[in-house]
Amino acid sequence: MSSVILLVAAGIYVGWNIGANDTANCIGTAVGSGLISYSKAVILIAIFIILGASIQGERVIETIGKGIVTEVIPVPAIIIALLSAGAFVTIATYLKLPVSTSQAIVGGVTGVSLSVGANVAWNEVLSIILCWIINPIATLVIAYGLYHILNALARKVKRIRVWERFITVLLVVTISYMAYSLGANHAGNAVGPIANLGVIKLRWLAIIGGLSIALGSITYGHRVSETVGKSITLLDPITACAAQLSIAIVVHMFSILGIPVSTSQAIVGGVIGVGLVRGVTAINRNIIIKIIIGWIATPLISAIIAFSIYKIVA
Amino acid sequence: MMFKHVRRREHKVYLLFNEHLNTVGECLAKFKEMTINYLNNNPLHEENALDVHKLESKADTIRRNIEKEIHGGAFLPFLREDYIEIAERIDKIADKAEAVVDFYMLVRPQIPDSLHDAIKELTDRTIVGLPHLKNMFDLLDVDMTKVVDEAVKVNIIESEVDQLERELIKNVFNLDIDLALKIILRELIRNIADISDLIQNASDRIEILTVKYRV
Repeated sequence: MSSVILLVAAGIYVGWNIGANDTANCIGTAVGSGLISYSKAVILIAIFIILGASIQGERVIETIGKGIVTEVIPVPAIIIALLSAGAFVTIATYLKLPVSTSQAIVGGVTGVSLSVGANVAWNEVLSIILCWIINPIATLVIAYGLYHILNALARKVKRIRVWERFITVLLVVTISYMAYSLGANHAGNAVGPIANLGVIKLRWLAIIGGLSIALGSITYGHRVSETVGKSITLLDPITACAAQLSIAIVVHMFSILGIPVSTSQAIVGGVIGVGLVRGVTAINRNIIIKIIIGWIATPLISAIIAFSIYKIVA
Repeated sequence: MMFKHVRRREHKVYLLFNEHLNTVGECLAKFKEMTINYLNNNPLHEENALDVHKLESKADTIRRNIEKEIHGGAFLPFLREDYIEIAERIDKIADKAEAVVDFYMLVRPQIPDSLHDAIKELTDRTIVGLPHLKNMFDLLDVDMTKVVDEAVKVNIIESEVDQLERELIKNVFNLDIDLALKIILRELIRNIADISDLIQNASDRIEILTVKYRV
């Protein structure tokens, strides 16, 4: 019983980290471009994160808990996988770097499984990595198309107050959908490894995951929001909504497929996609390069940390 | 509904803007009346001057209320600065009318009879851009694409006033009057013409607001 409590606590810690780090991916562009206040946005996303996790979070939980490693691994290994990924994300969040929690947790589970000597389903891992590559590209393409559609719709509006209302409604829909997708996809990152033991029902794990992510958003999400919203490229309302909506669509699609993907990768794809409308020069290339390095480093470092710690503890 | 109170606040701001523009319009009308009465040596100009002061002060109060409502959460945050700037620019029109009235009342310039008609014409033309400015603001809530047409009219009026100003100053310096009076009259003429510049400044800012939604 105490080991289950410990596991859930570790899961909540990771979930909290996800909320703190990925809140930026949900609302960074909207808050950064001055469309909505941070306090309003964070309440909205907390509600939809919990809904997304509870309704569609189970598929990713299953993939992380039983897909990457095909056998039951010891409780300490699961705790190490969770904590090493969580600690890595905490440091990144503190440094205001929007790293991928999905990559950290997949890296952590893979690393610890190798350390334990368990069977790693490499086909599954490779599929996940492939999806990580597809993720920003798909978001980029959808964002580019969505920008043109939304812009055409906005131009049909003649009255400024109607236009404002259009933008506000669009914004609320995109933020809510984005948060829903985040909950559906990332609840698995928080509590997925616990599913490996099969001691808690997937639905309950999903709810715990959703609540912990929402908690992270509310308590610590403001740190990265500024970086994502303002540093990559300055966004106008239509651009911000197109980027957000494309991310929500892609992350939701992967949640249905049960693939843990990075919202951090998706947001970069989305922002580049809308940035292309104005020409690539509008994008801050240095920040993009930093983020790409983070993508490669995150799963590797997380795997190495988890592998090494388990070896030392064992 | 989550944003109902915001919409109410925005509606209130639009009503305040209307009131602001109407007050500035009344202020300019009184300013014109004051100028005519001053030129005709009608003592009513003193009363007109007081009215201009009162209306300018009223416009100031309305502007502060607009800013209070906007800071309270009306409009999307990235548009708030534009609305505040528009209110401030509209307010400066009334400020300038008050400044010209003060000039008349404090300096008491002796305007030669030969210039009376030209000064009346300048005064008349410098304020005619205001109804177009009001139309521009009304069009924001009807059809933003037509705002530019009204802005063009404001620009044309401003150019005409500039032309009148130059001709008038030239005439002043061709008159056989004291140099000090020439300089005083030039300052008066410039101040009157500035009103149309300020109307154009406010119109430019409304145009910027409409361009933002097309980004």
